[in-house]
Amino acid sequence: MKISKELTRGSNALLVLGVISKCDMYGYQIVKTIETASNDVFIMKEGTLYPILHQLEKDGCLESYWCEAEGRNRKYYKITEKGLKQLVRKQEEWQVFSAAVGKVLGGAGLVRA
Amino acid sequence: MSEHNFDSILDFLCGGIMSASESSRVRDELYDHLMCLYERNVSVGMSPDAAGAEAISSLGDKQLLRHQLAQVHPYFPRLTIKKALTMLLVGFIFSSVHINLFDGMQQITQFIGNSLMLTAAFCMSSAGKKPRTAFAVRAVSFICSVLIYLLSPFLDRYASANIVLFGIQFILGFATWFCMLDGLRSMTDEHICDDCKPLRFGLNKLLYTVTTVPSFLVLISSGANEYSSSIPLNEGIGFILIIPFIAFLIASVQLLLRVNTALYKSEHEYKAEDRGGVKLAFFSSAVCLGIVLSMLLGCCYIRQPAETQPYNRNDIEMSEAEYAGIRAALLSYGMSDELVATLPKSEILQYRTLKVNKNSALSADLSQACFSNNYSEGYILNEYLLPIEDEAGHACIRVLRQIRCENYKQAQSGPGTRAACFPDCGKYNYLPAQGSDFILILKESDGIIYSCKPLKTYKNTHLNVTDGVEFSMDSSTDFYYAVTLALEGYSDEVLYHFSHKLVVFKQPLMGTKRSLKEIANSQTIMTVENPLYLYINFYTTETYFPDSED
Repeated sequence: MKISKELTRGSNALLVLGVISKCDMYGYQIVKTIETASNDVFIMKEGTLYPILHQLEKDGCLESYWCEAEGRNRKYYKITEKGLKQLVRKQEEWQVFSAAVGKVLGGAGLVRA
Repeated sequence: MSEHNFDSILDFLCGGIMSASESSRVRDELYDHLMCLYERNVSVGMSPDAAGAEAISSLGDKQLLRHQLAQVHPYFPRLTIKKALTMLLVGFIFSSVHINLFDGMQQITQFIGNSLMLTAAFCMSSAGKKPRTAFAVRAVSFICSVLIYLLSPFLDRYASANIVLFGIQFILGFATWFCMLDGLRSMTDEHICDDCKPLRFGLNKLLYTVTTVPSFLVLISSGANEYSSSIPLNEGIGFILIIPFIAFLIASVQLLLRVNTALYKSEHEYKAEDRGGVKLAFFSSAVCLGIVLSMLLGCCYIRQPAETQPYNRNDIEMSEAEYAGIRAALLSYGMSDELVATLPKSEILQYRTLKVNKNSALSADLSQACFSNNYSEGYILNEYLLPIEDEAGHACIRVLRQIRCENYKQAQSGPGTRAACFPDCGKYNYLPAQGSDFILILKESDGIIYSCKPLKTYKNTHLNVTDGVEFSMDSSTDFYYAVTLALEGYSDEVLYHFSHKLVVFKQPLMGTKRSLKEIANSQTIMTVENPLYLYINFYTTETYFPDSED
């Protein structure tokens, strides 16, 4: 099932922080990890990923370092203390949001056959 | 697939990032990503060309990615150029407007102004060739001003060199603004668009404003802010100059804000240096170092004690009767007994043709008008204009000035002193009129009067057309000088001295005949640096000379 961009836009940073919190990763790896973990529900384009990564890095939520891999320079991202706090906060927000959406949709009986 | 096959797409994607180093890092990262995609595609059996094309395709909307990368890495003119322009204007205000609310305030404001202007010019120097030129010009201008300050003890002896350096500094000050504004205009010209058309008009207007006469005056003070031609807000002339100055600033701010708006809307990006604070610290240090060097060199150059010698007022023979007659005449002009008693007899003899002043009304006027002016630089000035005849019988006025240091600290920091360079020295300019004679300096210490030789005398110092003398100064320094002015046959030069201030500042009074009291009561007149200029210029022998016994 394909999820619309509008629906996923607000949660992209949460997803990125979530996967990087498990281990240090580079861009391609992040995309693949999100795809795999979501059973290809979240297919994050590079045009979306890199601006988010760079913004999180500028905000101090992520740190980066370079390693040489397969004869190329590869940039790895690592979550910071600030990033972890941000992740916890965003997770809480998401749970509240998700529960509220569920209640509204389920409670109001908006889905008709 | 070889590396260069991704060059064009990487160039495009990173093209919006203005920082070369950041662009390079993002490029490496994206290249790694594309190569990962490419290798995966090849591993599933795609041809190298198809694998490369698929990798590029999987990036999604390239235009959007480029735009978003540029947004995340905001070396963007709307921030940096705006900051730089703001700094430039604030620096201009600080370096041009001199207000002395406390000791040393002028030096502090100049220091801040110079630092801000240098930093701003540097931050904009990356935006294009012309702003770069503007920074270079500003830097040279600053170096020039430091050189003038450093070399002032030497340059004082060479008026022409001083004028040349001043001229260079002025031209550079003007050129800085011109290059900066012309540079901004060029930047918008490169990508002229509908949004930029009003901007171009605005910049042309600004350039025009800069080159008009009122702003020209302001630019003089910008180019020569080390000199007294800067805008003295606390003096009358400051309020006249401040009008075009404020107009210039308002026009500049308004139009420069439009520059930013247009640059922002047009999405044309120009690189400008960021981290203005770091640059400001660097240039502040440079300016500070320049000032410290100036002071050190100045102190090393002349820190000599005054050469004093016992003072002998009986330097010539004079009969008691003659002395008493001249003394009575001098007292009738409001001179204090103490002053008369202090003058050497050789000076007393200069007034042998002085008639006793019987016009008490005029005497009162004169006393109120000019004989006891409070000198605004910590001195009290008592000035006596005494009608005498020279040896050939021509009418002259001998001007005797007694200058008493009332506020030592203020006197040291006043514009007429060289306290910044020479902490124990004062400097006084005087007229090189016919028969001018700097007669003596008296230093009163523990009740003993000494005669001091001037430390140094100048001919035509700075841009003033007066001569000057440097003297040792302490809290009890009094000094006197006398100048004889013939009322006929002034040289053109002397006439220029007399009319100089009036032509510039006091033109409405030219040719009018007003009483001394009227003139003295006019606030504008009281701002004339040296009232002597006025009286000599407007009062002929007939109107000035008081009724005499004859």
